[in-house]
This record gives sequence, C-alpha cells and structure tokens, in this order.
Amino acid sequence: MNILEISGLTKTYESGQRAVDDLTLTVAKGSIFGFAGLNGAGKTTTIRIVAGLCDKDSGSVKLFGKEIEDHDASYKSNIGFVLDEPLYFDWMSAFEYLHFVGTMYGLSEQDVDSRTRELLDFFDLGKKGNETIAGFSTGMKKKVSLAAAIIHKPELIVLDEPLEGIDALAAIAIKESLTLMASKGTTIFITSHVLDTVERFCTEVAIIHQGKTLLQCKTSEIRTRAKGALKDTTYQSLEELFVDLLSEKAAKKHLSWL
Amino acid sequence: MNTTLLNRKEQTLITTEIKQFFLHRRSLHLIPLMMAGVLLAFWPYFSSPFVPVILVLFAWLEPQFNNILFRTPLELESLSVLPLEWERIIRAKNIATIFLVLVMFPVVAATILYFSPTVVTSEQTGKAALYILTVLFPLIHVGNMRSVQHPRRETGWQFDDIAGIAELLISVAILSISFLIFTEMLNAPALCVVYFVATLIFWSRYSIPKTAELIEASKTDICMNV
Repeated sequence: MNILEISGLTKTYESGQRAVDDLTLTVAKGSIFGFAGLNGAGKTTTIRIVAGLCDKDSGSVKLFGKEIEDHDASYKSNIGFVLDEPLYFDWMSAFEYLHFVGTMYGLSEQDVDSRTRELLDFFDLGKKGNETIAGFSTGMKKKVSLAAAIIHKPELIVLDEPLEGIDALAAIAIKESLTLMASKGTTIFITSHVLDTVERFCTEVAIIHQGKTLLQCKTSEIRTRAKGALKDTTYQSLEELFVDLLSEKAAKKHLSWL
Repeated sequence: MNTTLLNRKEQTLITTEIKQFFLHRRSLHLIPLMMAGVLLAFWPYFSSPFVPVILVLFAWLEPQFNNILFRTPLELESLSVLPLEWERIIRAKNIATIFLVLVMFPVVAATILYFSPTVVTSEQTGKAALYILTVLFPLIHVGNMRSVQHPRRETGWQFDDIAGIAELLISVAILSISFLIFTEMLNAPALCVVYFVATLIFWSRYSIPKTAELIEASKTDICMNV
C-alpha cells in the first residue's frame, strides 16, 4: 500500500521559477524514503505542498489513498512534519509547546501529559523542559520539532533536512528514534542533500533534479537501476553516483584563477 | 462552519493567544502609550474623557486586530502544519482579542482617568461601554482583512507598525459614525445594542469564513513573500 502518491506535480512561483516540474513518486507504507537532490532541486517546495503551506499548479497528491483538498486540514492529523524552518512558538517552553501540539492533534489531557514527559525524557530534554525554546541550541530545537511531530503517533513523518546544522550526537539520537519508529510501522519521508545520509539510512530513494524525479528505487538497487544512465558501475558512494547522474545535466564550472 | 461552541482545541488556542500577547515585548508598549494617554487627558477639547482611553487601548492592541497571522514570525506556517481549520483558528484569535479589549478597557480607563482633570459621570461611562460594543466587531472584521492583505512577520515600532496603528485609529474614527448617529442624532442608545448583535452575527457568519477563504487563497504568497 502506498502512503503518499505524487503524480505530475508542478509548481511555478510568481517569479517564474519552476520549482517542481511534473514530479512523480510513490512512498510505500513502512519505508524510510529518502528524497534526495541538490539545493534548489524542489524538495522543500514538494514538502510544503504536502504540508498545505503552498498550493500546487497542477498534478495530484494523494495521502493514505485520498487526494488532498485545499480546505481540508484533517489529513494532517495522521502526519508529523519537521520542516526546514523550525515551526513553533519559541516563547513557549518545550513542555508547553508539546502540550500545545498534543492538544491540537486531539490527544486527551492524560495522553498529552504522559507523552510530553516521555518525549522530553527520550530526547534528553527533561532538564530543559521548562526553559523557553528560544534559548535552545539548533540540535535541541530539532529535537523539540521531532518530538512535536511524533507526539500523536502519526502514520507518516515528513522531515525536511532534519540533520542539517546539528551535532553528531543529536543526529544519532534523531536517526535512532526514526529507525525505531520505522520498525513499528511508521513511514518516514526524509529529504536531504547529504547523500551519504540517505544511502545509509533510507530503504528507498528518489533523486530529484530541477523539479523532476530522475530515479526512484530501493536504496540497495540503486546501482543496478541507474546502470544504463551511468558511466561506471563501481561507485563507492551514492554521492559519486549522483554526481555522475547529474554530470550531463549540470554544466561544470571553473574558477579562472585556480 | 462547525457550530460547536468552543472545543478544547479552541480553548487552548485562545489561552495561548492571550498568553502570547502578554509575553511579547510589544505588550510593554502600553507604558509609553499610557503616559501619552495621561497627557492627552489634559486636552480639554475631547467630547468625552474616554477618548484618550479608546486611543491608547486600540493603539496598544493593534497587532491583535491587524496582524493575526503573525503574532510570532512563523505562526502562519506553524499553525498550517497542524490539523486545524482556519475558521477555528480565526475565531479563537478574535475571541482572544475581544477578551483583551473587555478586560483591558477598565484597566486602561482607570489608570488614565485617575490623572484626568475631568470628573467622569456614570452616563459617560455607560456611553463608553456602548461605544466599545458598537465598534468592536466591525474593527475585528477590518483587522482580519488587513491581516491577510498586509501581514507583518515582526511587530514593534517599525514604520509598518506605526502605519498599522494610524490605519486602525482611522478605522476607529470611521466606525464611530454609527455610534454618533445612534446616540447623538437619533438619541437612541438602545440601537447600539441592536447594532452590536447585528455585527456579532456578521462576524460569525461572514467575517470568519471570508478570512479563512482569503488565507487559503493567499497562503502561498504570504509564506513566500512576507
């Protein structure tokens, strides 16, 4: 069963920039799906459309088998979002914020309270739980975002560059928690321009470039699947493969003085 | 629109909104505004000693009326990812504003009028209360529209904020016309209550859904350009 199905998705901004161009992909239930691409490839716009922050020009976005409708926010009750910008009220403490979000997801007061405490403890935020989020480090803020995204036990978690700007320890904690959730059946949709992360962490991957899907397959099959389009078959990393895949599409640049 | 009176989500949104207002540093603007209000109270040409009170109160609460989408810089986005209908969010925000007006009006009035050289009569107090009821919902509607058309991610003492206050006070002056007609020309203050009920219905049946519709239609531009 597919949790997320995107087909023919197109979005052009007022400036004339086509951010997403006939994008098609499917995310299977229970997978850890890596959505990889260079900066500006269209990853964030795609996620913003799924999150209801941005309207599409054309195409279809189906979540849990149902087309997203403009005025219907109910589909979000089964999704957790961690977007590129930290979306929270930073004047609140982590405790207050998780309480607020839990209530907005319709959890009972008892569940909100117990899950908030557990999440703060799980992400090592217990001691700082009553301090305002504004004073937190980037890593701690990401942890708060992730905690808020999972408090309602969603079926799908959408994360935009969740490991960006955080230290190794926080990254490990976040990856471990995501792996744990995936093992319990939660689908993880994660964007990253750090391809090593995608290769090591994700079970399935889609590579996007200039708003189009170049390739979608299981991470373990990527070398075989991409073979026809590549010059070499013995890549050490997804990064090397990716560079080769894009080499025909992106003009190489040089500095005249180097 | 869902007609449940106030569910737990809305109650939380309302309390969050009120708390947010007082925790924002802009709430401290009440101090200089109140000082200006005390000075204004000595000006003998106001038709009522409550005029400086009204000016201070609405100038202070301006973002609560005119900038409902960005009481904090990423509020629109933060609320957008939650399973909340915009109608409910707007209703909760507007109710918080009504609460702030009704609670802070006596506080601001008591402070400014304490220093006022004019003796305040009970008739003037009653008229001031009727005045608040007359302008409240129309002002909320004007603010809802402005919030979508001219949103500001940050509020403080920037040019846009001063312009927002000026615009709100002009709206207050224009919306006062109905009050003047009812009380001065027709000498029928009871009509203010009828008008209040009519504007309450207008707010509930038209302003809230219309604002929600406008937000849905323009949220991409707001998120990208503001």
